Amino acid sequence: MTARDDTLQRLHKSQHPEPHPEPWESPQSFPDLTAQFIKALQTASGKAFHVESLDKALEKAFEFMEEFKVKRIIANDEPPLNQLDLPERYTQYEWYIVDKTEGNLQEFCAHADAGLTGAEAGFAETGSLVLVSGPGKSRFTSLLPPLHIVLVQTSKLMVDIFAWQKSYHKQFPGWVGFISGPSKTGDIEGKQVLGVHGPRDYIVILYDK
Amino acid sequence: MTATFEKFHADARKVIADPRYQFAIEDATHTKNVKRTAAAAAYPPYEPLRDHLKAVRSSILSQLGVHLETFEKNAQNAGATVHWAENGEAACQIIADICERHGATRVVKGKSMASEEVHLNHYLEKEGISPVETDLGEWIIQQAGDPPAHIIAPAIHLTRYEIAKIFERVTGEDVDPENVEGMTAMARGILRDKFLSAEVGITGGNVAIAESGSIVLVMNEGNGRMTTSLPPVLIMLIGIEKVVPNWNDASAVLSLLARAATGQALSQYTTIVTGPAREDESEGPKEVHYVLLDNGRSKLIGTKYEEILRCIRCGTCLNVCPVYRKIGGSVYNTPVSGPIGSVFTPLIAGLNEYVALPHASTLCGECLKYCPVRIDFPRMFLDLRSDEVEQKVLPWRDRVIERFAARVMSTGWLYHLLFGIGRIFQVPFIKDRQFHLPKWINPAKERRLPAFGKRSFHQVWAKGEIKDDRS
Repeated sequence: MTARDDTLQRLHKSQHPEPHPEPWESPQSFPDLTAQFIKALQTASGKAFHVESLDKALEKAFEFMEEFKVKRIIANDEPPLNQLDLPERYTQYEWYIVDKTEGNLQEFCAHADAGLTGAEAGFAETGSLVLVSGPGKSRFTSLLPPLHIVLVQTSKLMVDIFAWQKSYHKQFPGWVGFISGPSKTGDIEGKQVLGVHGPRDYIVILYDK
Repeated sequence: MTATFEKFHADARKVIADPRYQFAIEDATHTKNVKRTAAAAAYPPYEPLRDHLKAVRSSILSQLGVHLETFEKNAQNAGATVHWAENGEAACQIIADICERHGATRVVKGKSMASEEVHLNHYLEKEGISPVETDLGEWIIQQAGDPPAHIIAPAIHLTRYEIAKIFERVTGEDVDPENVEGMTAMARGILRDKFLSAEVGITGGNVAIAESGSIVLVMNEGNGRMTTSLPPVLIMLIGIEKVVPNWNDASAVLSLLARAATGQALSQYTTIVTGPAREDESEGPKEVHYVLLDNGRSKLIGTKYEEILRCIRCGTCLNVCPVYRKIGGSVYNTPVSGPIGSVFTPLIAGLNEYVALPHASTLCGECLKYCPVRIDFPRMFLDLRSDEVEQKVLPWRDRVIERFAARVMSTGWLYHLLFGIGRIFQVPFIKDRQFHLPKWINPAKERRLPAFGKRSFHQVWAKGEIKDDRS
C-alpha cells in the first residue's frame, strides 16, 4: 500500500463530516478606497501617491527615478506601461522590456536599479497590490531591483481580499503575489530593516484616468 | 531529540539564570503582544472572524481526506507533481531523490516549520546536499548551529553582538554590531549569489487551496519569492492539515495570520504558487513538487486531539504563555515550541520522548484566550498528563504520588484527616509562616511553601466568613 492510500484510507475511516460554514462576507467598507489604500501602505513602510492622470503618474514616477539616481530600468510589458513608448520617451535610461528586449532577463534584472510594473488589482484595507506572472509580466521586475514603482489605476482598488476572491474567476497563473510593502526583516533584535532580499523602496502611484 | 524532566529542568534553569536571555525573550514576546493587540483592535471583524475560522478549520479536519483528494487533482491539473510522505524520513527521502535526479547540490530554502519537524537539513547534508537557509533569522541560526527559538522569529535569542560574531566568522571581515543595516546588506549579498546559482528551491507552505491546487506562502523578506521563482526546480513541503477547500477560506486564514503573528494587516509578500511556469512564460520553475506530510497527523483525526490540527502557526500561544516567556524556545527541544509544540510534538514524536512538555504549562488559559482558532490547549495538556499516567510514561514514583493525590482530593474525610494531621505536625518546621524543609525533601526545591493556615478553607467557609460574590 502506498503512503497516499494509507493516509487517505485512515482519514476516510475516521471522518465525521461537519457542515462547512457559509462563505465569510466581509463587513469591511471604506468611504474612500484610495485614501485607505495610501494609509495602509504607509503603515507597512511603503509610499503611495494619488494623481489625476496617467501622465501625471508617469511624471511622478520619473521624479523618483531621478531622486534614486536610477540608470537601468526593467519594465513589464503590460498595461498601462505598454502604451507609453517608455524607452523612446526616456532615452537617458537603459531599458529592458520583459519579453521584448533581447538578452538575459535575470542578468539585467540582477543589476537593474528600478523595476516598473502595473498591477491587476488592489486591496484598500491592507494596501496590497495583486501582481501575476505571464507573458510580458516577469516575477523578477518587482523583486530583484532595489526600487519598485507601480502605476495603477484607482478603479482597480477593491475593499479587501474577500472582494478580490469573489471577483476572481480566472485560472490561476503560475505565480500570483500580493505585495503589501517593501521587503522587510526584524530578525536581528527585532530592529526593522528594509530591503533584505527584495526592494528596499516600494512606491505605488495611483491615477484616476 | 527528547525532553525528559531532567533535561527540561536543567535547560530551563540555565536560561532562567541568564539575564540577557531573559531580557531578549521578554522584549520580543512583549512587542509581539502589543502589535497583535493593536492589529486586532484596528480590524473590527477580528473577533467574529476567529469564530468563523475555528468553524472552518474544524469542518475541514472532519473530512480532511476529501479536501486532500480535490487538492491533489487540481494541483496535478496545474502541472504540479504531488507526493505523499507517511513520515519525516519518507519526506526527506522524496526530497533528496528529487535533488539527486537533477544532480543538484546547490539548494536554497525558505523558512519551513515542516522541514524543521522532519530534520530535512540534517538528512540532506548526509546525502551531500547542503541546503542554505535564506530567511535572515534562519540563516543566522543555521550558521550558529541553533534550533529556531520562535516559530516566527527564529533568532530572537541572539544579540546583535553574537550575530556580528557570526557574520565575522562567515565573511572574514570586521563587522560592527551597531550596524544592523550593514549586517542585513551583507546577508543580502551572500544570499543573492546563492539564489542566482541555486538548482533547487525548497519552501514550506502556509495554506494549500484545494479548488485551485495552489500553495500559499507568506513572508516579509522576499526570500520565499526568490526561492519559488529563481531555481528551475521547486519543492514545497506542507502538512496535510494545512489544506482549505476554497479561496474564501484561504482569505480568512490570511486575514488573521499576519495580524496574530506580527500585527501586520497582511505580510509584505503573499506568494501563491499554482504549478510550474506556464508555457508562455520565459522564467519561473519548470518543475514543481508538492510534498504532503502526514507524519502522524492523520492518526489524530477523530481523537480528542484532533483540534490541535486547526493551528495556523501564528505563534500567538508562545507570546502569551508565561512558561514560554521565561524559558524561550530552545528548552522545549523541538522546532515548534510553546503551547502548540507542547501538545503537537508529544503527539507526533512520542509522549515517552517528550514527557516533560505537557507539564510546561501553568494551565492559566492565556493560549486558549488568544489563539485565533481557539484551540483548547489547557484541556489537551490535562488529557496528555492523564495519558502519561495511563500509559505508564511517568516514573512509577510519580504515578504512585499522582494516584494517591487524586484519591485524597476526591475523598472528603481523607482530605480533612490528612490536612488536620499536617496542621499539627508542621509546627516544628514552620518559621515566618513558611515551611523550612531540607532541600532533598522539599517538593518545591528552592522555594519555601507557605504553612497550612490555622483553620481550613472549609471551616472558614462554613462559618460564613467569606462572602460569595459570584454574580
